[in-house]
Amino acid sequence: MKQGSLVVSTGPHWHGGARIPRTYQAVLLALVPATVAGVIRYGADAAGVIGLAMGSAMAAEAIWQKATGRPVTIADGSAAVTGLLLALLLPASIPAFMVVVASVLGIIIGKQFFGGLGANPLSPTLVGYAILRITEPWSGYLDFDLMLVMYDVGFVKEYPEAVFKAWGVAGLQEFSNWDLFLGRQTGGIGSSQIALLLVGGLYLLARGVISWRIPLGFLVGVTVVAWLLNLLDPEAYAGPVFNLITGTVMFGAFFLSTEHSSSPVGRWGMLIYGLGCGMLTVVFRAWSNHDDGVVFAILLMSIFVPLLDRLRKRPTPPAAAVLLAAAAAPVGTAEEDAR
Amino acid sequence: MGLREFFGILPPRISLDATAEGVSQVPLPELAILILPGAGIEDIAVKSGDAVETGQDLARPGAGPLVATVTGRVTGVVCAAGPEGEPGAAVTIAVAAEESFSKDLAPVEDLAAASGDDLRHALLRAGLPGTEAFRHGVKVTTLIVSAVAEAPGCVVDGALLADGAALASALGIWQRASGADRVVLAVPAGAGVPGGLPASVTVAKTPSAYPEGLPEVLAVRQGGWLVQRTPAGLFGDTMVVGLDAVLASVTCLQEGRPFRERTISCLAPGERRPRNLTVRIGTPAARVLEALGLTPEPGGKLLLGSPMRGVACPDPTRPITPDTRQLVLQAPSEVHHFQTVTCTNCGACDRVCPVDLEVSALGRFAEYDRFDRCADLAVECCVDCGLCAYVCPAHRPLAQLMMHAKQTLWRSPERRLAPIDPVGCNACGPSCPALRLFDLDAEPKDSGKEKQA
Repeated sequence: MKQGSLVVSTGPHWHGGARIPRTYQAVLLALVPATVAGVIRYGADAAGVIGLAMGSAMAAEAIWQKATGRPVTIADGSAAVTGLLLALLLPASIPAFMVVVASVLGIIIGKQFFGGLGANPLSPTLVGYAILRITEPWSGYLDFDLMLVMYDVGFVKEYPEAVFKAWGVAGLQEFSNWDLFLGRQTGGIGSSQIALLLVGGLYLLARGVISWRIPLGFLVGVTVVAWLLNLLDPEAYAGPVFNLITGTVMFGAFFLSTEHSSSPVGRWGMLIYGLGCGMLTVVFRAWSNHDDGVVFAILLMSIFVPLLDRLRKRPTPPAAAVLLAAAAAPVGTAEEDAR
Repeated sequence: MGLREFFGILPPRISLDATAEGVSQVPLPELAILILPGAGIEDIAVKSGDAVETGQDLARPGAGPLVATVTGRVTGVVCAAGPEGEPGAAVTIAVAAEESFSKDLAPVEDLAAASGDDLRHALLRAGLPGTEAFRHGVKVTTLIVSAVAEAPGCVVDGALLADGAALASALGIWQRASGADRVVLAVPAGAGVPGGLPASVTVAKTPSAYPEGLPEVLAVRQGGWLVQRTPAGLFGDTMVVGLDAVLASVTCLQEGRPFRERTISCLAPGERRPRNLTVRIGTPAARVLEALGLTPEPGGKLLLGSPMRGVACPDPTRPITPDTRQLVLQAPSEVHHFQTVTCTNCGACDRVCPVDLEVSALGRFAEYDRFDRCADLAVECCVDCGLCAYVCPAHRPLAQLMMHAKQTLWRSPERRLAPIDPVGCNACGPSCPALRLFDLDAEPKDSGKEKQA
């Protein structure tokens, strides 16, 4: 054998085989049940919104990366996930231009401006959605009661969160908790499929794509604050069960807040981030102008991620050991002494 | 040997449950290569043409010992890198078929009555692995004797734990030699603990998963946070030795024989089931591969050590040293290529780190030369297990970045700890000035001449 033809490198010389595309394939797979259920309920309109959102997100990412001379990475599936998550938040009857605006701005402003995958401080999905939500002439298109009025769905055609805002706890008598849990409620294409999202979320946990800390913190945060408020005034504030199974809490806990780049990686950071998202959600539901506080709760908590990531137990070498290591350091000393 | 994770509740670990077929013997090589790390040619007492006997000390007093593991004639004394790339001196010996033992290595008459100093000297003189600390005369507080496999594909013979009485006497010898106050016997979680151990020995059940068997991790688990290994082979004031060496030492001391053979686990390309071999120390890796019927392919890798942190050899003439436990041959298709892509902040590395470092942040700081921030985040506590790079879905060279940060910090004026890169040039690879290629087939008179890589 010719000498010098072997590869030399430092360890590790094995790799576990994890790849970025597999992460996003797992997320897409976890969203399949909720997506299929949404398409069955709202038909071609829902399929159109989903296709448009995913297509425009991927196209925006590819065009931006081509234009800026960076490698095109749409094959990793992250843009497709952004598009799908956005579509599942929206009502099926939303105008096409709004889907494109949200998805393109989400990708460009929310992600590419900061350097692409991994560098975005906020979830691109939520940036796109928030742009629609806070743009005055468009926010009406996100009103589920108005948008879904022409569909025949076979359950109470009122958005539970809007009912709660308008009528308080007294208005919630018409909803059955079991119906709400099974996703028989007015809402986004996929974000209202509570049970199916829970199944998808558990799949992501089992695959190791997300950590249990953020979803758990989120759900505990919602439960605790809703329970406390309900305890204070049962007439004015809905209980924890209603808060958990309506709106986008389940979607937020497992899919939106766990977006890797905009969530912490430390154990305590993740728990506190999840708790904060959950608590703010109920606070926004109780006192803000928005029906469902999940999106803004997550956006707000994402801003604190760099701080939350500092909440770590720092290993510090004991001083004595440092001294010992320093004393033993020069290799030659003992030998020279011996000579 | 897969990566196990359960709902993120149990951290992923590489299982160490490897079994091997029976142990086979590698024949004596024609040329044995013995390396004394951290020494120069002037530290070697023999010269080309000298006859040496097994057990003879080839180094000058105070520099060694470098114990001859074979009998034969010296064919050359050259500069060569040690097992981890540190500068060293090498003696090449043309092996004679007839083995004779040096009279210098006298048996220890009464092991039970021998003093700690005598035992320390005898263990060092027999060339046992893990005895560098004795050479440097560093105080040892805790002695950890490990029966746990160090890395995936490494097989530790379970039968070593069977004889409690032999174990107790061997542990006693090492405790007296090291002067340790505390002896910890690390055994795999599933293994039975032998009876009859002295009261001073604590048994630590260790999970049978990588990296729990690494010397650094054993030291961390038993003694708190770690400062990087010192040149004396210590971790702080903790000494870690393998159980096989500890048990072999009793026979070595009683019979006055050097530690001249060791059992290594070999992983062939594409195989996950190791083959165990007994090899004479000093045998070039090429001869071990020949015995297995393997040939290194151009573009492949030959690892002296584990697949997680072994040293990739530029050529197959590197010898088996007393510390070698594993030999891994990789085909070109198995060679992993790391990539310089952005971190996606998935946190897989943070979750897998056995010492809870903020690996993702450290990787980014090291990538952009912010070594001050790396120091703030305690990068020196990294145990070099390599799991972060193993799990990274973006295939970032995280372990390599951490190593780079540590070495840069060690070289900085404020923190003179223990550099591994011998010259400090950071150009580790085939062009390394400290690496030396040996010509196994050359005539004795040519063997000392340096070859160009």
